Amino acid sequence: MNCKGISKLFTAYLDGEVTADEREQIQAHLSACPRCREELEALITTRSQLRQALKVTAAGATPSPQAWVGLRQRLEAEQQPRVTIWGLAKSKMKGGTNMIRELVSRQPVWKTAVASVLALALIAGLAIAIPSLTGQSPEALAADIAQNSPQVKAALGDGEVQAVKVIKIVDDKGTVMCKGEFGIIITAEVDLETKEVTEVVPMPELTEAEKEEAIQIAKADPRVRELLDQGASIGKVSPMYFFGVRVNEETGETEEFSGTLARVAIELGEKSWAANVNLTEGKVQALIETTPGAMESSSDPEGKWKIEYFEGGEGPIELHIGDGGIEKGTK
Amino acid sequence: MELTEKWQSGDMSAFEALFQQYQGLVFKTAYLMTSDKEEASDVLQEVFVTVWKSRHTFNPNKGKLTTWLHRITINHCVSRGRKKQPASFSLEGARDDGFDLPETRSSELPEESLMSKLEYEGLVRTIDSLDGKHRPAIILRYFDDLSYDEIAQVLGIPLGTVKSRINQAVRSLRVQLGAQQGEASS
Repeated sequence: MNCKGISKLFTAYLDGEVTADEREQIQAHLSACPRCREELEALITTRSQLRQALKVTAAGATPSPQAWVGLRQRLEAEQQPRVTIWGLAKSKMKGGTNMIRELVSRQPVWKTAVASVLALALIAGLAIAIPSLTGQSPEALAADIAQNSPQVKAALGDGEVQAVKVIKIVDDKGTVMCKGEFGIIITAEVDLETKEVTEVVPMPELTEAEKEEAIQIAKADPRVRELLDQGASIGKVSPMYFFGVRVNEETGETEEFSGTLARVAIELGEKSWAANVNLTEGKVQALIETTPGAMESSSDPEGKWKIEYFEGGEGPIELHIGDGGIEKGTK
Repeated sequence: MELTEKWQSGDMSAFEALFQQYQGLVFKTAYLMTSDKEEASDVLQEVFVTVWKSRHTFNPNKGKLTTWLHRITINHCVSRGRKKQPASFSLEGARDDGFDLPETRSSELPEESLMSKLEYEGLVRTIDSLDGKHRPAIILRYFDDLSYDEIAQVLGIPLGTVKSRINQAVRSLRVQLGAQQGEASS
């Protein structure tokens, strides 16, 4: 092996992470190559300094003595959703629409499920919200069943269910979208009577024809054309759900809406955008500059509406603890 | 009944014991990942909320608890990092915000320290400049002392990728440090 090939193994060599064969090759090379010996010496110093810097930095970081109290309160609060609904139901009297906007726009991802359910409770008004004190609203119940279902968790690759959105409730059946911490999205069919998840469905894929149509619609949009003229390229086309909250200008009431879109990725250098195409209406509903992994959303500057987008991942991915520890595989 | 069995069956006192035992590991790793104590506090909470909610999914016979905790911690840090604008770390700006900066710890560098205060600050800056792929690998290896195999399990990547990420990161740190020292001496 030449200097370049050998030096790639130096860090692993110093960490004791090379095979016996590799170790022999490295040592033989080092005995004959003063430049590589010098390189290795420099890496030994960098590694030692790195260890020391991390140790010194971490030594100054200790959790708050109140950390357990805070965690305990949060776990208890999450187990008592009905109290929160009561609090919000009362707040509607003081101007509920602002409250919805605040909830949707400010809460971290883990709270969006609660926000969504609470927003629905608010929209439905006190007539629904108050009786929910003695029994959850259908939306809250559907979200709760989906979020706590082992089937749903398994389909999302285990870990935390980060977002839950109720798509529809018909009689005693609900359809709920769930997004897991690994970015996988599924929909769960929920039976409100038996309180069970009857089916877990991966996000529907777009056909090749739909993908092509989405690209053509995106290309026809002047904002997208401008990016393409600057040298941008069209990337992956994937299915996407959207969930919005808006103020109905005629009634002044707040309402929720949802649907599906085709997300056309656009890349220009290090920047990327998503053109969210509404195939039914044949137009780009929103063009958003994106950050990998971040929640994609768009909103009215005056706060009259806000939409959150959920892109379909490549899952379902299975993560499990196997003989060799945590293992990852694609079903 | 073992402690693990107790908290897995929903015993809150056992869960508190688990939290007390591992909060330092989670918080310090999160702090090194985020360079922000508030963020690290949020991550600490989120990690143990995840642990509590997913307690049934952990099988102690098939994997180490610390590996599982590291995986959840890194996932939360990376996921939060993606949502934020990439931060250009400024010692001066952060100091104004009242954070307990790594720099202030440099007075605690041991006598036999391998580096000067200036080198330490430079190293902290370069660690902060590492991206979301290389930074966790470096922290898990050189702070948490995980083997390459354990790092592969935590990050869900092949062993070869762990090797190349650590190698690239250490070399990048060396080059950047060299450049900073060159600038400082010129």
